[in-house]
Amino acid sequence: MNNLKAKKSILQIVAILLTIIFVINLLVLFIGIKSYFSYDYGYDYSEMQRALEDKDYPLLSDMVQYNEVKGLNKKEKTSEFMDDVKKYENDLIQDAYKKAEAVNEGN
Amino acid sequence: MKCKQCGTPNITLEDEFCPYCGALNEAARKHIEDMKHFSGRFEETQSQVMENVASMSKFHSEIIVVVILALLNIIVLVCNINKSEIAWWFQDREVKANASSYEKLMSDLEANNDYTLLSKYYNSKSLYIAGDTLAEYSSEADMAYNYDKIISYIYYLNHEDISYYSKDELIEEIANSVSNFYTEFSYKDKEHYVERGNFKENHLNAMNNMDSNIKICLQGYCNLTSEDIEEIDGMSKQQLMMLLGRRVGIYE
Repeated sequence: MNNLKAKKSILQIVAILLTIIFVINLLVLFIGIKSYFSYDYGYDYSEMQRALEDKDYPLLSDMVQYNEVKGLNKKEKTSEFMDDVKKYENDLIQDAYKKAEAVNEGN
Repeated sequence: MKCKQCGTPNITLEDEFCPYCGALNEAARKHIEDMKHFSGRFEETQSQVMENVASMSKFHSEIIVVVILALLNIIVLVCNINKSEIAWWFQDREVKANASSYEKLMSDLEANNDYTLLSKYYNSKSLYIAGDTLAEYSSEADMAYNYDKIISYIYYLNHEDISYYSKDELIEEIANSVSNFYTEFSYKDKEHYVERGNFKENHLNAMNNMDSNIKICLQGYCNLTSEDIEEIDGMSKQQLMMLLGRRVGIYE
C-alpha cells in the first residue's frame, strides 16, 4: 500500500512537470507561428514622409507597396503616397521617351 | 427447535428471542453472535477490497493521464520543430480560400500597368500555390520584379545625391536585372516550356510593355543606341555591364 502511495506521488509530480512543459511548449509554438505572420509592422507615416521629402521615390515606392501588400495601407495612410509613387514611374518613363527622341533627332 | 421456557416448537436459529413468550433463545445465541461477528468481518473486508480497487483504478487513471501528457508534449515538440511548415500551411489555406479575389486583384493590377505591385503581391503572398490561374502570372511577376529594380536603379543613377550605391554598383545591378529580365522574357515564345509558353494575350501585352519601358529607359538614361537596344536581349551580364559602363562613361 505504501509502495502504491509512493508511486502515486511520483506520478503526480511527473504529471505536474509534464503539464508545465506542455504549457510552455504550447506558448512557444503559438508565439513562433504568430511571428511568421506579424514579424513586420511595415513602414510608418513619418518614414514615408521622409522618403518623399528626400525625393527617394524608389524607396517610397517600396514602402508604399510593402504596406499595401501587408494590408497596412489604411493604418499608415499609405494611399496618400500612392499618387506620388505612380507619378514617379510615369515621369521617369515619359522623360526617357523625350530624351531618347532628342538623341534620335540629334543623330 | 423448541423454546426452553414455553415449549413453542416453531422457533429457528435466526430468532434471538422466542416470538411467543419473549424468552432468550439460548440455542441460537452462539449462532447469532457468530453471524454478527462474520457479518462485521465481511463488511470490513468488502470495504477494504473496494478501497484497494478504487486506489488501483485511480493509480491507473493517473498513469493514463501522464501518458497522454507525454504524448501531447511530443506532438507539440514536433509542431515546434516544424512551425515554419505549419505557418506555410496557414498561408496556403488563406491563399486558396481567397484565390478568386487574388485573381481579380492580379487582373486589375495588370490592366493598370502596375507591374511592380503585382510582383510584390505575387511573391510575398506566394500566390502560385493557389492554382493554375494564378500560376500564369509567375513569369510576369518575375519579370516585374526585375523591371522594378531596373527602374529604381536607373532613377538612382540620375539622382546620385540620394543614392546608397556608387555608379559602378548601379551599373552592375542594372546589368544583372536586365539580364534576368531578358532570360525570363526569352521563354515567352518557347512552346516547349509547358508553364511558360502559350501565354495569354493580357500577359504578353504586360511583358511587351515592360520590355519597351526598359528599352526606352536604357536609351534615355544610359545612352544606349538603337543598335545596342536590338542586341541587349541576347547579351550576358558581363557584356551588358561593359556596354552600360561605356555608354555612361565609366569605362573607356
